[in-house]
Amino acid sequence: MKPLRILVAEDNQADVVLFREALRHHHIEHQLYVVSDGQSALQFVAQMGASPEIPCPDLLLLDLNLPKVDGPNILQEFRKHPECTHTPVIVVTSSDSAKDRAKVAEFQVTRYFRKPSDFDAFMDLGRIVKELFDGQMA
Amino acid sequence: MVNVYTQMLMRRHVGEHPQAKEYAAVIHQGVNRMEALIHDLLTFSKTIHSVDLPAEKADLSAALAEGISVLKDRIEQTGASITAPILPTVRGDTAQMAHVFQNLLSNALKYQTNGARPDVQISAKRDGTNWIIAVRDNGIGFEPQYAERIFGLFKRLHKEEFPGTGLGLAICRRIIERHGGRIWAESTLGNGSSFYFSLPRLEDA
Repeated sequence: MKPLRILVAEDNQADVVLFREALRHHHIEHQLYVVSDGQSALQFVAQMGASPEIPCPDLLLLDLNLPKVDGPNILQEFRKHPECTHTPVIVVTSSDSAKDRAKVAEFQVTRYFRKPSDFDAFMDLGRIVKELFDGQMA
Repeated sequence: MVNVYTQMLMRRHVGEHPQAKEYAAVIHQGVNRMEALIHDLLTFSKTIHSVDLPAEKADLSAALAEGISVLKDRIEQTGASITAPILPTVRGDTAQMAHVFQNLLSNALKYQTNGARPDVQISAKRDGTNWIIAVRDNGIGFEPQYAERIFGLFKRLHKEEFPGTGLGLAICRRIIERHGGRIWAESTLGNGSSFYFSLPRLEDA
């Protein structure tokens, strides 16, 4: 199985480190494509599939509250790409507000992951990813 | 995030060092306090900055149910009993009224003697053009001289024994006053507390 290609739209680098930890914790081979603000995310999305360096990812990890452009706008654009209409998306966020969930509900969010403040709970993100791709990672 | 990194530091690089464990516990508590404070400050800021008068109908029974659902885990842990009749509908915002109930119930569950089973009774009565809602608990209570002070920003009667930010009741006061009402408390030390808030009846609002 090839490494999972994961687009990570997250402005907090400390959280990106924890995402990697969670993936390693569950032995998930991965290649991260990290964009740290909304504009870079939109640029990535606009060029997805055009070159091997900017592939259509297998998974999008999306923080809703990004600099410059908000997460819901990025997800909207992401879903317009013909190869990404059904790509799994995990919204990773610090907020648990119903308003935030409502903003992205129409764009098929696979899972919401509220960033926990406990190490083991954070590592659970890896389990969630593993379950999503169960069968493909055997 | 700070807590997660502290845990990683401890597990991977420190191990079972007793003093380091103690320091890590202090960091953990500090972070939790900061998180609670930020959360409450954001809520307070939202209530301060919403200037429009509420125009919708707030179903107080639905608001209470929402407040209870947020506290579900703590209600289960403490074995608390919460009783309420069907409550009236007032002019206002159900979500904000849910916040009032959540704060009052959270206090009723928190300020208890060790191991006591919280008993909270909610009631509503008409008073002229107003409804008066009462939230009575069987907790530790407070001396009557503090009945006004506890609604002040960051004003707390307890520091170490009961965690809190000192913002909950200030938020309640702001919400109730914004709805054209009043909130107050009565208690004697050791005999539980009663919190009351008045709201204009819908037909008169």
